Amino acid sequence: MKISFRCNGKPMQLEISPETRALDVLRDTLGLTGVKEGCGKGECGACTVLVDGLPVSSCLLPAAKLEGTEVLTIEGLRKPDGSLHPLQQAFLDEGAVQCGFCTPGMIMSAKALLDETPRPQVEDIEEALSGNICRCTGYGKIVQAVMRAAEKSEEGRHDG
Amino acid sequence: MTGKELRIVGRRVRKVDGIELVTGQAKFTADMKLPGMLYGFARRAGQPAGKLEGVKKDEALKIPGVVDVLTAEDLPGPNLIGVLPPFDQPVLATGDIRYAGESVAFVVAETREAAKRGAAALDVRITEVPPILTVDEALGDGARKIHENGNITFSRKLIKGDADKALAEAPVVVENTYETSFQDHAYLEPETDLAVPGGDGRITVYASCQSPFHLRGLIAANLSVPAGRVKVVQSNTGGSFGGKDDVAVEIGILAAAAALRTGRPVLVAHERGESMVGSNLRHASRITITTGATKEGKIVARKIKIILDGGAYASESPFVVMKALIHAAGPYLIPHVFVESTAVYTNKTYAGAFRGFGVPQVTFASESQMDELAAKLGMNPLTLRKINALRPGDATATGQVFKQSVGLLQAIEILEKERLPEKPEDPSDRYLYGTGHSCMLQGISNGAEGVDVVGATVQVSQDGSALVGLGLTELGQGSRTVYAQIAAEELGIPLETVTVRQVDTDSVHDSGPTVASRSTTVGGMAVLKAAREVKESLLDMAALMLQTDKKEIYFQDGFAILSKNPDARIPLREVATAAYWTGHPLMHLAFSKAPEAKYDHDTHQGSIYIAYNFGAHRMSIRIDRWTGEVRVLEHLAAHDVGKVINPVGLEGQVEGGSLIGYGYAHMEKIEESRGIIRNANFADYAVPSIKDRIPTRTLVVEEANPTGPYGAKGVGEPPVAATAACFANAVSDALGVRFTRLPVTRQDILRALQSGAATHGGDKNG
Amino acid sequence: MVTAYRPATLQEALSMLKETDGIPLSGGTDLMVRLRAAPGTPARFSRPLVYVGSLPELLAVEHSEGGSWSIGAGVPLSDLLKLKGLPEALGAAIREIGSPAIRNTATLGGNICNASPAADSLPALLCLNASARIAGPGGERLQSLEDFITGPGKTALKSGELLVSILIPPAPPMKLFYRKIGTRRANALSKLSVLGMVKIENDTVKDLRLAVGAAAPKVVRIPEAEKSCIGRSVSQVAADHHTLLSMYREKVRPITDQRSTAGYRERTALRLIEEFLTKELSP
Repeated sequence: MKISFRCNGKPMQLEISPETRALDVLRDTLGLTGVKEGCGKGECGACTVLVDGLPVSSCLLPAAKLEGTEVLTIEGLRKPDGSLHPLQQAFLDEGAVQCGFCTPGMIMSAKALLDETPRPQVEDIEEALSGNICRCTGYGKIVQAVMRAAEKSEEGRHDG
Repeated sequence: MTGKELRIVGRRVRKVDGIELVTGQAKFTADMKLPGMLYGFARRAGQPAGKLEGVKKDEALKIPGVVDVLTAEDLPGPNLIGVLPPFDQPVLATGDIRYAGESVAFVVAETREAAKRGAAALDVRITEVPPILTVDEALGDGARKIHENGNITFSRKLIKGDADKALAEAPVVVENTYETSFQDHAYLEPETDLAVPGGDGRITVYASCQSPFHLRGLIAANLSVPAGRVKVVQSNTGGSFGGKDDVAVEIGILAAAAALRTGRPVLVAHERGESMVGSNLRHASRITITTGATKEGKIVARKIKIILDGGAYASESPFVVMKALIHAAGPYLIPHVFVESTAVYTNKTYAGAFRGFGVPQVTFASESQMDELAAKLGMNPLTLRKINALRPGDATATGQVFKQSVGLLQAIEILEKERLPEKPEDPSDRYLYGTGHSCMLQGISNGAEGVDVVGATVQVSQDGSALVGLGLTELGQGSRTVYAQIAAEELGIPLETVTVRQVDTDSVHDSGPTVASRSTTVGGMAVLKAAREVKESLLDMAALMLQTDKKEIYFQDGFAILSKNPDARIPLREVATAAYWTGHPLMHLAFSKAPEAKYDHDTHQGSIYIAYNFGAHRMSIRIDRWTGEVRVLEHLAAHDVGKVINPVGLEGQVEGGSLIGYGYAHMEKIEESRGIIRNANFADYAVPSIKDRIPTRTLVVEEANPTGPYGAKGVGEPPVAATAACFANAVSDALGVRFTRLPVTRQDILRALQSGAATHGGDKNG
Repeated sequence: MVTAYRPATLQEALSMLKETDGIPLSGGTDLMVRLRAAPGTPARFSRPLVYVGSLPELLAVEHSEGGSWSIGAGVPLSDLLKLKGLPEALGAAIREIGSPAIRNTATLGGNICNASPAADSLPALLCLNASARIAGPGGERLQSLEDFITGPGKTALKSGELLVSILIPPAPPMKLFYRKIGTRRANALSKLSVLGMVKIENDTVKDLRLAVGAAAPKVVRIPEAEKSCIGRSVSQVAADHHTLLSMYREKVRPITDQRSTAGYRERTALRLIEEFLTKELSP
């Protein structure tokens, strides 16, 4: 079947088989390997991407459901000038990255949160990232990073 | 300014290889896709014990897309893997089936789906044999032998003084038996290898792995080719914690053998379930300890028996046996110690290396008993630990004496200075509160477990930047950042100009395995030495250029600077360029070799490790009497790390290790029935989520270690053991009942409360 | 090659379901796992897929002035959480389903039709006396959810039928008690859940509903037990909770599985019911 959608700002038209997962389309067809597969069952969050601004587990999403949507993956997060998104910078600065396998999904979930709740409480961050497992960091620095990114974005808004 | 003070080491720095990870550009093995690439999938035994009668390939080969099927006889080499003797594990089963996750055949196909379908279609005939599922069955009289040599994998004794006699005379004696369960590594990236036939008579294997040279050796042996024909490249590795060794070898061999047969690249990417069923776990254990002490609380003797359930194959069991043996008595000065440590085969998923490596098990047992002893003596548990804590100049259980870098007392004192968290008002009487302590030690580097050499190269380019190479792997723990800091510090160049290369076996020296908290200590030392040698060369050049003695020059911020007149400076890139054109060597290979372990193999008395990391933890918790739910209110983790190289990395190691310890102690349990793991997924195997995290605070003691760079000691493993042990003690404190089995789950807590076992807060009316 | 259909109307969908024996797929979060990865066997949908998630009937949400709700079976769970005035019990239960990423695609209809004894929405919906609006070849029918779920993984849906929406009758404002015990604190499957709703006026119980999830093949709700509380004072109910507990003890018949033991489930269920009856009723 044919699907068309926008991915990281670019229009896509693809022929897919109906049982294909969105994850496979993104990784195998479009080469967006920043989208990770950690469990294939929606239990780890490594494959999280934003569809129309909302985080979804792309391993559970039939690719057919991408039809007409706007998809954002970790690859689309960098600013056009190549500089890092505040969340990417904050994850680096705060030491929220160890092995980095959970990081893309983690950052996408955090982005969806900050888009909706620019100044989150710790509880908001916990809820937003509750589907993203990290085995390396113990999560403390991830919470700090999201807090820091929120502060930075806020400053950015005021400065601008 | 003389360039003497540390400018980069000790500073909070960002992970040097982090940008690719936060942008999604980093390539992990499964992210690579090559023309003609095939996908491999193993058919597993599905039953814990039996005789493999045969595998018929026909039906699988009929499946569209299936290209090839390999069984044991298709492997060119000995079909044998293992980390150390006894090498006892086949790549593909022949004859005996010893655990349910055992691979019996390997299917390669054009797609992952077809490979799976092919594996399912294979006709595999196995005659069932009653499985041996407990260590007691395995050790029982007349038990079926799982391996030719019987069911004992490895056994060792530690004998210091006369523990039996001392216990008989001790005024106070406590004894108890403790048990721990298996634990899965649960790294986010499942194991993945990709083998690419070279066209030049060689084969390249990209692997998510911990020890590339180990892979190279075993892949070559099983392909029956010289090691030099195989090149292993460590891809970005999504966590390992000890787990990506045996299994990376297993799938590396399968992929390589299939790649050679088909002439095409072959990718093996485990699914989550395979990662849990078909790769090693942390050993389950049963540990009996008897401790004798004076009425004043001086421990006089400990007698300890450790039995480790090692599952179907030896893997790292021999070393885990030794590590448990050496650490079981705890970080205390004890004149008489007897320990017997044994690993046993059972028909379950094999156990091997997992962050902590035998130490979490024995620390839980030993530290539980310290609390029991304190209760019997009517002493404060921390005071008891303080009285017995190893001090500089004391002999460890192996009789080894460290004159320095023994910071346990300081770690305990830091805890004592921290006030306990306040209990909130709770008129409903719903909650129980408890605090637990633990002290521990963890040997740094391989020590008695084997060779301990790292070779590192530092290469300075004409632009003054540096490239560092060594055979130890970055697995997320931040070792590349530590190496870059050390090279930058020594060469006086900005951190951003140092690159630490990917490990590939063609271009770095075999540095032994990336294990045992040795990267910073032994690896860091090798980088430091290599950097100093290059620096000498550059100093010679700079001395010529500045027309002075090289003693008068120091390097800082990318300049060669005259000590007497810091305005007189030359950019290092000019020095490096000049050095290049005048033939001053710009690259050096240096080795750091830890002092050899010297000990008696019958008693394990002698020098075993180059240093120990000492730790003292405290955890305060709140328990909901109605549901058994636990909330951690505070967790303090004090460790003597010698010298902090990167505080951010250190905190990351302590916080992350602590949560693995907490999961181990409270949430994670491999559920197995009749030899089959029933919860091989993240829904049923409860890896802690962000809402389950604990508020770990890292506290640092820096008692310089003469064998590490700038005095540093490793810290990767220790927090796991200390956290698990203090959690168990906190729960016991809250409930007034001793839990002797890990994990102590919410269910266990509720059961204790309702059965009346708990002396605090139990049901008054049943 | 798997066939898939994307019907534009409900009628079209129904005829496709009937003709092809197709599997209706909406959010797909359960089906994508369940149909692909049966242990050791290959991933393949054996029957055609019928995408029903974009049908207007399945996406419609209506809230009447009288307080009743009609919720399309295909509305993503996270959208439901944004609805003003959604029954509190349903909101609380939905928040416990999966992760935010899963709730953005998973649907209420999917959670129901999956009919897992551990489905988080069912105790809430049963306490709200919800019913299922089902469309089929022969027209539409209504069925209480209590009867719609027939056992673990089983519903009263007949071949060619489709769950279109869930109807929730008006309910008075009630105090909510909800406890879910999972394997971890987030993105967890339920080991057990207890949901209670109570309305108290002048210290008298006017309405009381109580459901226990993951404790028996179906969600446990005992009308006689609930009725026996109504009209009595809060302290009377608390004093007599042992009688009530024994009624629940009869019906709570959990199993031991990889997630929990029967003993723990039973103990905890009764404990939480006790907590509800003795501690939560008082204001």
